[in-house]
Amino acid sequence: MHHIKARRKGKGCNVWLALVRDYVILRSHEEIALMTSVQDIEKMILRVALQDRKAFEALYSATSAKLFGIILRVLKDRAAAEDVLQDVYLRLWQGGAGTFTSGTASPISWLATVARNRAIDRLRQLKPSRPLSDAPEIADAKPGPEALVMAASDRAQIHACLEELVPDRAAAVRGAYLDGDTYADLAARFGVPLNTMRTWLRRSLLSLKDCLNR
Amino acid sequence: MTDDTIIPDEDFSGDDVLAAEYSLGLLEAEEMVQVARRARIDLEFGALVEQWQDHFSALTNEVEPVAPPKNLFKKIASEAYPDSPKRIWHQLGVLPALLGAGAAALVLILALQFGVVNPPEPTVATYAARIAAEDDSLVVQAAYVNDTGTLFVERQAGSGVAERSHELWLIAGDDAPLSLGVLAADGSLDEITIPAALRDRLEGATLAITDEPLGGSPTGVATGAILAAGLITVL
Repeated sequence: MHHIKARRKGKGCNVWLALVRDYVILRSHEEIALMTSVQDIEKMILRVALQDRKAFEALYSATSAKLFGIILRVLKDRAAAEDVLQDVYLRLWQGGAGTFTSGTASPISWLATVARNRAIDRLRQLKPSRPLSDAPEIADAKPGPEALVMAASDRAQIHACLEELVPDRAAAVRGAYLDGDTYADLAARFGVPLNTMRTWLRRSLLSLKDCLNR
Repeated sequence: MTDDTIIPDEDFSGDDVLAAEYSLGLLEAEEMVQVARRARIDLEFGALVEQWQDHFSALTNEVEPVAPPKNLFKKIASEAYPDSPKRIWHQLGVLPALLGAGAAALVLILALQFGVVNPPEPTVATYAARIAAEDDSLVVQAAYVNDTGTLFVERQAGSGVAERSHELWLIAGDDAPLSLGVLAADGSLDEITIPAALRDRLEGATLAITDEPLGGSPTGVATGAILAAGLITVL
């Protein structure tokens, strides 16, 4: 008892407590990383829609690093990225999670889209006028497991289809999506006139569409 | 074919290209807003956008996760949960008092207008005080709600010292300082009920914080240094 009390005094105890806390956090992160599957994330989102605080914290633990990475990649500014991350989770809590339609898209890609779109809005200094997700405001019938598998293979498909493009064109699509590059940014980066860039990219998008529909 | 050739029957006017450009964020601001609206109303177009977004979202697999700062969730929770101190300050319209009384009044009006303050039971602070050290190394925000006689107190900056307590005092007129109690060691929100006899004396009085032994002054008279002080002002 005495040594505990001694530790509580002075600075040493803060360090010790911080270590214990970090260890506990680390453990819980590990467990979450091990335990969270796509279904778990989906459940968390649905529970967040019901204002379940535990689920909210779990969802944050399981997904915030991924979303922060995405937002940071677009904004390239830590303070702004923290702001957007905060906004994304706050909106999820304040009703946004209720707009997730379970089964249509993978919950992780839904969250990624939400985070990435918010980051783009910030980059363009747009007021966040659009809703959290762009899906039509009518819920689809819940697809079965096959549809979920389809959705998963869809997502791998984009990589294969980008491979079919001229490398520069694929890089332009990635730049627009991941770095938030505008046509003007892309034109400068690839050293072509704006209109040429536009034509290139639109052509790439049509090729992509053909490939994705195959 | 080289990529520069113009193909005569090339047609980029279709919805597919528009939905993809929108999903990539390549449209001009105004068009962006219009197309966002269309995606919500036009089921077919909305589905196209969703498909593109779903495809593109797979690109985020190549982005390395980055751990956000450790305290960020706490910040989010304090905004999200209605019983968190930050929300209470917001509801009291007091938080902006840190920025100046004028701003506080303005924000309070805005809050009322936009229904931020809970309409059924509008808890509105009557008085507020910013109890601060000269160098702002300790800042404690206080707000008083007349209806309930409650004084809300929360530390905004600074920290306590182990085995010591921060004690709050009311100094009204020439009277001796009256103890209002010891503040929470972690600086979290305290709710102090002001005795009925003292409520009339708050306006224009001073709130002060002293450094005292753990649990507060043993004598009922301040024994330690005055760490911070602030005038109670009418909101």
